Amino acid sequence: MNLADYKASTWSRFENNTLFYPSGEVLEAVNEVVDISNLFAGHYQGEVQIPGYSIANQFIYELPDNVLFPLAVWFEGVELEKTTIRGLAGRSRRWLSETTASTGMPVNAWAPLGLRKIVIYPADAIGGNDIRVFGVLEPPELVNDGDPVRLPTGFEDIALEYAAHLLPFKEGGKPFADSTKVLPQFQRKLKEQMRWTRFSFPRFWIERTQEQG
Amino acid sequence: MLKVRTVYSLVCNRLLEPAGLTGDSGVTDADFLGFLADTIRSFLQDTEILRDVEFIRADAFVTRYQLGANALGAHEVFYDLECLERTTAADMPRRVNWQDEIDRPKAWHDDRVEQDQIEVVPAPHFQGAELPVSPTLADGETNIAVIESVLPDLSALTLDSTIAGIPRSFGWYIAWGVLWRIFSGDTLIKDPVRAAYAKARFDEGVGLAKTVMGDTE
Repeated sequence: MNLADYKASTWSRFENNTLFYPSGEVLEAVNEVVDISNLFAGHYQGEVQIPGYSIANQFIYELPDNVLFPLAVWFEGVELEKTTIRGLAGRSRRWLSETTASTGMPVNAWAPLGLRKIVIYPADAIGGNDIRVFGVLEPPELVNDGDPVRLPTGFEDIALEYAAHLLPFKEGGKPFADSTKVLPQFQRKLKEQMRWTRFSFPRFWIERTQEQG
Repeated sequence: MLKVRTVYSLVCNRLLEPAGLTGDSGVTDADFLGFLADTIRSFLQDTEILRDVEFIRADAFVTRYQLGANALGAHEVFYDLECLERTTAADMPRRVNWQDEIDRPKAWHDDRVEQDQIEVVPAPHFQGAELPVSPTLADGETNIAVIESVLPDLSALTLDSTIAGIPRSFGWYIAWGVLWRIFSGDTLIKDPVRAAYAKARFDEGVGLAKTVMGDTE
């Protein structure tokens, strides 16, 4: 299915009211579904080169904008061992200043520094070498009707329901409250696909508030 | 990289002001930017997804050091590019004469000190080099280097800004955080139901980012 199919299916749930739910808002809703599904399922994966190659003695590298989070790192075609910032201290208390020249070792490990950066160890003393990151990527932003919408397997129906549920938020009141029934269904589906075993969804406060009221 | 304009467009649409915030909803562009800054601050404080290295000049005989204005907390501390052991203030008295010791720092802690401060012990025995020495690790030689969680500079946020460090995909959750503040505030459009929904979605984003950080670290 492409973006046009998703827009048409979403509008069909609102009697094709394209005036009150214009194209831009439906587009936002579909992009939100794709991005959030990918944050949970991580189905947009790929390999990206760190632009500019390695720089002599530099140990921190910022990831390209389209990388959401790294899963593996290669230096000149050799996969590096993943560790943590604390793990680097376990290897050497002077890791922050060690390079391939001072240690005589090749670059052999990497560690995430937050979500947007990585550290390589030891730092490359020469520079100009290829660093590649494999990770979960940002989905391409959907813009044109012909853009393909990629979702995890079996997500199509619930994704449409979820996108449609976002639109009445601007109205509030009963139309929105009624639509929120979709959220727990969407979250259950996300749970089936999600790569994060330790994550649990926050309590759905609307239902509880209404029941108490 | 997240564009402020993307979050703004989403918030405008969800406030029934698709052409921009005119004040009809009780929310102006300035209000939006204030809510956005608060939301980003809260998101990054809770998730700590944005980290950097800061260099601080070591002063002879001084144990306590203030982190930079954008720092949220230290994770690792180095002296002269050597990693220090993390300890606690409670453990300090077990070290003989630690308050009077002057030597090469061996440990650090950040409890029982003022907010955004760290303490290194023993106190450095030499004055560090004037910063910046160079834009490289040379800044860390004879000085203190801190790996810390940071905030981007939010002081000059405009509708055309980009927010460094927050991936675009988390922008939906940032928008929910802004909407939570709008609908729960003292505004014309206060709505407890929509505020509760938006809060739950913002919390979902915070929880997810924390989980991603925990699993990737």
